[in-house]
Amino acid sequence: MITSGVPDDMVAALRSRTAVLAHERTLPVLAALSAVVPDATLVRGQVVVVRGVADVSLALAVAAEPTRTGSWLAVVERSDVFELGGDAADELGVVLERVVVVTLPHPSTASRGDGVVAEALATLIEGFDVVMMPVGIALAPRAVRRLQARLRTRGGVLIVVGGSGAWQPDLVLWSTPVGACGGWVDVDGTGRLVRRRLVIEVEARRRGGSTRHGLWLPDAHGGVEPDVGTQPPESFVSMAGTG
Amino acid sequence: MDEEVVSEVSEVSPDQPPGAPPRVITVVWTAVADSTAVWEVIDGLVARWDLLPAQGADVGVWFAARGPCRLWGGEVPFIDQLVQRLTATGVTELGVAVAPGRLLSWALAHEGRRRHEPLLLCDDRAAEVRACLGVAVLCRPGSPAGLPVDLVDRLKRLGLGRLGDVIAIRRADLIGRFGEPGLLLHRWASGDEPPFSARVPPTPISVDSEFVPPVAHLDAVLFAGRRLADELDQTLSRRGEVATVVRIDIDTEHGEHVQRLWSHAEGLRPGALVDRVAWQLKGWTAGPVALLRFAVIEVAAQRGHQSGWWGGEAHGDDRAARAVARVVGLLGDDAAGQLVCQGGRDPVDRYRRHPVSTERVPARVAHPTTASGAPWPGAAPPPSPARVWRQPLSIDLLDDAGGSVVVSARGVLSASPHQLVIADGTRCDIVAWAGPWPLDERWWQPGAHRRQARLQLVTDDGAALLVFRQQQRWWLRASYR
Repeated sequence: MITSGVPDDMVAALRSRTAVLAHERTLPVLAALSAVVPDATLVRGQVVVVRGVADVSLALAVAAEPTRTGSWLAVVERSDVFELGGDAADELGVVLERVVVVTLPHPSTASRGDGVVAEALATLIEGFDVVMMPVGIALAPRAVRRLQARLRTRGGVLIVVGGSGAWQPDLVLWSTPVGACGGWVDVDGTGRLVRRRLVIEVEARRRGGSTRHGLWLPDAHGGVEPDVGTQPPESFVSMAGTG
Repeated sequence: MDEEVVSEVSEVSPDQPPGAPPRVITVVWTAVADSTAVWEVIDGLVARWDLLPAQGADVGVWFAARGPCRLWGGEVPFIDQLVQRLTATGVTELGVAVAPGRLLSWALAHEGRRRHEPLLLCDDRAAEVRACLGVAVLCRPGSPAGLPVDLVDRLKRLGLGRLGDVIAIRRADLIGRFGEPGLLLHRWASGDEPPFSARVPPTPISVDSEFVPPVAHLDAVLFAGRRLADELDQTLSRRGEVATVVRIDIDTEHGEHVQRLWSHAEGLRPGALVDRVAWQLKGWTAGPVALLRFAVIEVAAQRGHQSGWWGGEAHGDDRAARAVARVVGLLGDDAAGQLVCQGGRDPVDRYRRHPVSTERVPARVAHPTTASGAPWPGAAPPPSPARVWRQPLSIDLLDDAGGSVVVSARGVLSASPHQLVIADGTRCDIVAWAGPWPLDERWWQPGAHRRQARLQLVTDDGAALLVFRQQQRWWLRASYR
């Protein structure tokens, strides 16, 4: 062991704080989300929880700008049910070249217990600027606390999709549709789902209280756009169907 | 002397237990102009086998030789000689093939090993046999062609299952469709093979570090390992080479001797070597380390290596790549992948998971809408669903009278869908729907023909879903969550 004569705790403090410039502690967000995300930046070490009808899309939108500026995104999936829609990620501005999808072993087949899962997550948290994971991953509360501590000192931003679970969120984004039909609005008359009008309720731990912002997610091109409220809520036109 | 020797060793993954891996070593050797040098080359290889760990019966060696047979009075006597010499060195399972070209030799040597007899293929039948090979031989681990798996997958999807199908297409068209890989594809499929790149170093290269007294602390071993790896990298860099297969030897104080073979197609850089030392130490050794050695088994020409800001490649890329390598070590090779767009109409078909078990995360993911240079006709326009079911979920759609909604042959719904019933009995009301859009795919291929009608739904809880009807049943495919 190489000893430097510096107390261990001081070494740790030096590593995690002093040498890091302020702008390196943050990651950018899409211009369309600048009102939604406080200070229009993601702060490293924070846990962002996205919820509501558009939780996955919102998580992808939040992660998009970092992937465009050179950061890597890890998308953690459980092996059983869902996978990420590549087209949706692309349309929301995520650069797929810098996305790695990690599938966790099925809980019933994980013979080595959730220790392996926790270790894999810890590795991702240290190696990736943004990690996106569903809330349903089975982790002991103790493991969650340890991962969150690791995130604070070494990591990037963790986006938890679908709820808080045992995580202590620094930022909660809750998506609610505006109007009937899940907020979907048909603008081109073909009857298909074109764009969705949402209200995002934002709760930042440090600020207290919550704010609400209108958002088109997706907009007519599959991307994201602030809803400035000039258009009246249109209704989903083709209720009668086209059949 | 125009002698070329290449050896290929499959990657040994860190989660395999020590001693167990059925390691595959392929040694392809060809174009030895001076026939008297044949045995020198073989003896040279045999002499270097001691560099490879654990010789036992689980090591398969395939030789494909061509050219010097004339001296021995034909291929058959030559093969006999070869088999005799190799069996004398203790090789038990042997596949020998003589055939024109490396790809064909390699494929036949595998077959020969399976049949326990040497195979011989004369030139005039080579084209015929080559045309019958499946395209998978181009991308299998250890294949001399070493083409990317996704390229071969695309061939299969196009219905080009055999090399004969590939060469039926003009070379110019293949290049037009696939770019540079298209050229390689045609060269390999037609027997016009590109030259070797990887090879066994002419003189053994190894560096080691002895620890007196033995060191128990992992960090200290890794520190020494880093210095050793840098030294090795410099030696190779001076020659414009990079190590693609390295054997790491670790001796412990208790006389334990742990050897593992590590390979990487792009070359093992110092950081990668140190990681592998760490895995090897954590996985298979106990006790203080007395000796650490890197022995280079195979080298390849160094390709361009662009340094990013602050020296080294983009720091974030390195960090991510190391994390991926570690995660793959923990969860298995298939656990981490990148999404590669391959075109298609179904949200699930459009992307393929490309495993990234490599040191550097490859940046070769095509842009979704331009995988084929143009949008895929028939694919749904954006917005696309963000969440896709791996296996479509069986559902039913009911009209307001409680009967199942069906789609007529002309693609018309029998009634407005009113309620969605999931297999587990959950019901929700449908507040909006759009469609149906018919999809008639692969009608030219009897086994793969698929007819669907797709529908978008919004349920009363605000969820937007993509469902489809196929084979008289409704399925849930994706969610615009």
